[in-house]
Amino acid sequence: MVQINSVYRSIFVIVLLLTSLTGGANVTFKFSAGTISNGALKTRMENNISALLTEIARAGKTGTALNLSGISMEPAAKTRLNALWDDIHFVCDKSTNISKCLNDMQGYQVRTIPITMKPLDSSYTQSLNRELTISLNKNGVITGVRPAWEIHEDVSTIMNSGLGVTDTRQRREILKWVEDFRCYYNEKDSAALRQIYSDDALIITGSVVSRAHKHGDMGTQVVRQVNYKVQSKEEYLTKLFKNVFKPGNKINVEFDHISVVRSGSKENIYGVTLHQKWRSGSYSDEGWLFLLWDFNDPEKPQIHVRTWQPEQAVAQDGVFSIEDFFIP
Amino acid sequence: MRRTRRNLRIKRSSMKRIINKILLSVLSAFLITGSMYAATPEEIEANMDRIKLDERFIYAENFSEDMDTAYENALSELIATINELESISSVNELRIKEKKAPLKVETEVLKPFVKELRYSTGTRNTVFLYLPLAWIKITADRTGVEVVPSENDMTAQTSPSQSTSATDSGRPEPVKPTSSTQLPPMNDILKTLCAQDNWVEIKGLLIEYKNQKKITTGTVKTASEVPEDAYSILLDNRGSILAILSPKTSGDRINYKTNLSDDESNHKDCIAIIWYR
Repeated sequence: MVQINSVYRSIFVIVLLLTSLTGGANVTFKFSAGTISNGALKTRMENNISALLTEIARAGKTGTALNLSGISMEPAAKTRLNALWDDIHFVCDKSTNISKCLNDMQGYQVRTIPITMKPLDSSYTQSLNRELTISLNKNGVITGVRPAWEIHEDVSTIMNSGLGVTDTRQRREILKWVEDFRCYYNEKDSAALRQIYSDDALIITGSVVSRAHKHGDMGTQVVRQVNYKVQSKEEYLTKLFKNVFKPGNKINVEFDHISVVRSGSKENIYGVTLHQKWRSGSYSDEGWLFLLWDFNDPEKPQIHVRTWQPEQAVAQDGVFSIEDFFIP
Repeated sequence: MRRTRRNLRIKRSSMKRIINKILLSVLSAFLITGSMYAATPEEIEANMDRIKLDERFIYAENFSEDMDTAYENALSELIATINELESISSVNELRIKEKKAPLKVETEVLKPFVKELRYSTGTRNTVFLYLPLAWIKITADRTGVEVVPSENDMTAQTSPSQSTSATDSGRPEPVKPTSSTQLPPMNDILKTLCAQDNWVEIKGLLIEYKNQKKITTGTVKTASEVPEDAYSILLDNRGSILAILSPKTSGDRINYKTNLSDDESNHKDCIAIIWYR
């Protein structure tokens, strides 16, 4: 009896060691020193983000739906995160996360929270090692949760080109809005798209048409011509919602290059150029997207111009840029 | 019978010893692997976390599948962080309004002073770069103002467990003025400016007074270049106001913040915003 008890005791110690090494489920978050001075807000945001990351860890580990009921988060942000979660899960890599509190025009941002993506199907083609970005408003309520840009080099270039703190914050804001903009297509968020395009937005789509020309005895030469189609916001969105946003049609939009140029004459106007990969159902294309952003109202930035050009059009005519458009 | 019982007891105790040896080996192996598991990446992360929570340092980190890419991205982010420091960004706001080139952060100058921690786990490579805040100094030359590491701190210790008086508070320690001088009565502008503690608070006031044509503002200088006939506001590298100095009369300046005679030479590492009534 004594020998059996001592054996069981030893096994119990081993099991205890095992469970302690695998760690608990709680994920904590703290802000880096000196990045936020308001103590009460800092604590509130840290607790809120810790609760969110803990829930992500739980749901990611168990493969279940997110329960965001106890988390201080805008309803639209919860909807978007749940829509993202329907497509892909992810887990936090670290049980303790410490990041800077970054300022943008609408509040605060937290970046560089390392996560590992757990795709639900084979349609995910990006890296499994990503970072999470969390946006909060001035009251510390979470307004957005999304995997960050993978194109670190472009992001660094954009942030380092900032002239002064206002411009730097606007650039950070641009990156956040462009990340959201991409998600609006993936989540088929028609309300958000309707809001972000200005009422008089100009939508230009380029397409390459190949024509065969006969040259007498020299045979037939194929000539590629770029045609540009101009649509209003309503025309563009109506076709998008009807033909692309139909139920069951999965959309995957990726940006693998971004550059930002500030207007030389208008302080809050920026031109954003993106290389876009679009997959929707069985259709896919790649091309260059140019967006003219207006940040005069930082709460509601608007897109005045959206152009899309396939690669061949860009090779021939170059990408649209901010200089191509008159800003009154 | 007695012999059988004795043999049985011997067998049981041998079995017990063998089982305990096996369990001990398993336990030891587990402890060893456990200590290996809690080894290098976690220790490095713990060190990173200590630096992140220490306000004497600025840092940047990046994760990438490629270590060199992670380093370059982290360095870019560190420079962006330096650019957003209150003392630099607020000075840049003023320079941009005056249509001057913003302060430059020379990457190649900073690189040798940047400290690094790095580790790999599978496909994720982590690079963590950090710099003591006190190392960032703004200097002026003929072409403009630039951000460089302070020569005085080139041999300073960077371990978070060690501290120096300069880095504890994040401010350079000024030489204490020695004499007290009778102050002329302060006007409303000086009273209001003296009530502020940092650049963010005072910046708006200077713009307002300038618009009201009560003052004219000059350029951003280092403390050693303040003209004799100018008032000056001296800031440390965090944008905190250390002194508001009067023009030099009879060889002396007055610090309106302390009501004592003072001089810009007592604040060598500071930025000076000059203005005139």
